[in-house]
Amino acid sequence: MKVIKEVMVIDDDSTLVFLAEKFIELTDMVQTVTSFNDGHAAFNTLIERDKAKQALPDIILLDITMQDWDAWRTLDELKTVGLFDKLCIYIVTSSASREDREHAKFYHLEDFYLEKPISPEVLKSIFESHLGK
Amino acid sequence: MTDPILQSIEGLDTLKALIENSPVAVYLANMEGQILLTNQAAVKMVGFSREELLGKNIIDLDVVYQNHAQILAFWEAVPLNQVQHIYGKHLCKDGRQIEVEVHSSKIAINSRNYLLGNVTDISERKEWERKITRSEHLLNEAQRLAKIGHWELDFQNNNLIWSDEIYKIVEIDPSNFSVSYEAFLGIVHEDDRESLDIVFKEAIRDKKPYIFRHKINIKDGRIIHVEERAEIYFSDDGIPLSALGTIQDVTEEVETKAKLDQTFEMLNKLVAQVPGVVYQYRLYPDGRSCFPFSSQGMYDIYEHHPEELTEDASLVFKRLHSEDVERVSKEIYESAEKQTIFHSIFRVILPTKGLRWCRCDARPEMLADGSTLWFGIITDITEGIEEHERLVLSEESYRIVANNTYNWEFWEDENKKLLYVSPSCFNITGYTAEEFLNNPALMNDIILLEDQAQFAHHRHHVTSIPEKDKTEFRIRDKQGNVKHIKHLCQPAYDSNGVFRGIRGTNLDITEAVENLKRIEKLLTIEEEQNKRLRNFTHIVSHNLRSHSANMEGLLKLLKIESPEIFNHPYLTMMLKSSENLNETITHLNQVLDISLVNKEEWKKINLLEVINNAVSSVSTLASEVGLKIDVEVDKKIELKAIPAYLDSITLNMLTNAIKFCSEERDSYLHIRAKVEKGFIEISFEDNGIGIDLTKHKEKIFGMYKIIHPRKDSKGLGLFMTLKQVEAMGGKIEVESQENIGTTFNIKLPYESH
Repeated sequence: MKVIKEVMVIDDDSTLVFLAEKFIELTDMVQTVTSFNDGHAAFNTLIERDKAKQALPDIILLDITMQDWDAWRTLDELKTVGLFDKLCIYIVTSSASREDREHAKFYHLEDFYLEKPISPEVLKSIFESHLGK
Repeated sequence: MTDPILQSIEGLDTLKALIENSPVAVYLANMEGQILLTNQAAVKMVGFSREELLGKNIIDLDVVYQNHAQILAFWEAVPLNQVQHIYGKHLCKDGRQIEVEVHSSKIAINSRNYLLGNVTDISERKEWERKITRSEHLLNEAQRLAKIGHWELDFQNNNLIWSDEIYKIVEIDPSNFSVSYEAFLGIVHEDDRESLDIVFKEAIRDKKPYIFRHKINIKDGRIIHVEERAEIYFSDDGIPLSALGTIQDVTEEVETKAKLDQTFEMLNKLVAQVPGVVYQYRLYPDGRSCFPFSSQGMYDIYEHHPEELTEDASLVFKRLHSEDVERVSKEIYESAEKQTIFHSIFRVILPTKGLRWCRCDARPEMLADGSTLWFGIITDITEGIEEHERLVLSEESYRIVANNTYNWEFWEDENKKLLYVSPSCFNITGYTAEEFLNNPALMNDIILLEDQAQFAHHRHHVTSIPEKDKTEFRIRDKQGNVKHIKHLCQPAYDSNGVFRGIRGTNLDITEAVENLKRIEKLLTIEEEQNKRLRNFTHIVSHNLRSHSANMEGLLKLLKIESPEIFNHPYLTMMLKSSENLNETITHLNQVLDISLVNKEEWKKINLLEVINNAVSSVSTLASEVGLKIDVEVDKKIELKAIPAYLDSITLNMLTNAIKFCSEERDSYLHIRAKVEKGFIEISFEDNGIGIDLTKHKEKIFGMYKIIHPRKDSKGLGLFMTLKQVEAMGGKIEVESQENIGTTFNIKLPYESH
């Protein structure tokens, strides 16, 4: 019962992307998983889709640490173009650093904060809460 | 001249003898006025001889009555033996006119009529009469001017007589007033009435005159003051006959005196207010001197009362310090001679107060007898002198200290005049103290141009307020080296609070500044290293963890997709190891995080709020195990801390108490906080299962030390708490007894307000 149309995974760690795709698939709640290994590329796609009035992903899983644009840069750019408010973004991090969690507060994403390793259970609960709202 | 009829009469000789022996001048003339007989008294009175008088007409003797015909006609008309009484003026031989009283009559001898006159010289009497009249007039005039009236009381018939002036004084119309002793008492002021009566009666009793001043009520409710003087006259056998007295209006005098007394009293009060003594000092030409007047302050200055000195001032000179006597005397004589203001400062030795310093200022005035009279003030200036001495002394000690100091000291007076520069300025600037003193601008000139504005600002601030201030600037010394100077200065006051200029210090801080630069450099290096450490942490935190997380994820995925593989125990063990690795990295991460605290994270937080939040977040857990938590923390306590740490510490303390509460009794946790000097102590006291500290003291705060193995114990809680407390500069202590309870005391730095 694939009730969520699209989840976008943005992480430069291909293993994580692979795992995320697999775990999402295992939830059996999502139709499509789109993935990007860089914030910038994901941003470009989102802009284009928005301009073309195409559908945006229902949920985005955004890794903090990335080579080119990291999560913060990506979020800032999305804010600048006014896309931020149209999206449901989860920060995904391997860091247990308080600093990062504090930083997430700035984007009011402290409750949309996942620590790795991600698991099918966690993803399922996210999706369920997304549908429930 | 002979009269034939007279010659013929009998007893002529008898008549002649009678006339001749009369003590007054007698003339017998015929009806034409020709003198027929006269006597020696007449000769004596007018100075003519008997022969010259006989044959003269009596009318010619007088200068008042000259009309012969009229007079003779008068005599022809008057009846015989009727004595006529007239006053006339007789011309004497020497030209004098004498006043005379004449008793004359027409008599008949042998049927012939003759004129007989007795003439008395009354010049002297008349003169007295005139004199008396004049005295009376003068007396009246005097009484009027002096406002003195007189009275006379006749005791025999109790008759009192007042002179006009009395009526005027008491402003009573004589026609409407029946004067008597009682009536007089009636107008005497009621305050004095009785006393006057007593005085008067005593005067009679003691036979003594009296003087008495009293008041009299006059019309319109006014009061006058009079002085009464009286004397009683007695008969030979001592019976009082009369009293004679005067009443003088002394109202003006009394009132003037009252005003004078008032003025004098005011003057005395004023003088008493003047510090020291106000005095008059008189130096006589013969060298004697005295203080005719001095205020009570005299005692404060010389410990002699004013009245001891009114005649002789020598007591004062005995008080003078022996070294000052000669000088002061010289100054007094100089002031007298040149009539210049006397100004002197001298010492006195007093029996009670001992050595005192006095200052005297007086203006001289030359008197007619050659004396000099000074009006002046003497004040005790001992305190001022001591102050001055102290100042001199402290200046001296300042100089001694300043001369030997390493720093470049200076002192300028209240007019910004440079008074002193310590010799050490040479070591710092290469210029000598003399160079600075000779050129007040030098200090400013050697300051580097770019620092001069700031120094000028500082100078303006210090001298205009004035207050303590400091600044820093650079100078170029005589050799051309740039030196860093720390400049400290402050206003100097004497103990009376009078501004005495500015004292300052210039410290050569060149070395310190250079050291500081080195330290700054070192700090930058440390910062750099810190940054690298952070990066390292980040690598650990992110990359390492990513990999371990991935590994864990992959294993989980494998377990989902091919669960049969996990029948092999190695894979189960691998999954477990992967989970453990992940957890360890997480903890390592947290610990590193604590060690690298950012200063910006410190915040002022309310302790009670933190504790209450933590308590409410564990309330469900606490009630599940039956732990009663009570909090005794002053809601006003606010401390500077890292909020996340304080939250974490509190929560850890609470969860520990929940985890380790005893099942054998009602559990409690008391949370208290008390403020002590410089820190705050938060205690968490429970009655849980406790810890055997003899065994576990070393490891209680260690990492991964689990004292009571439980499913949810990872051995990290107290370690983290310790690190967090330490990161905030605090300490944690524990007291515990097995099966009784545990108390954690957490001390954190605290700035009381």
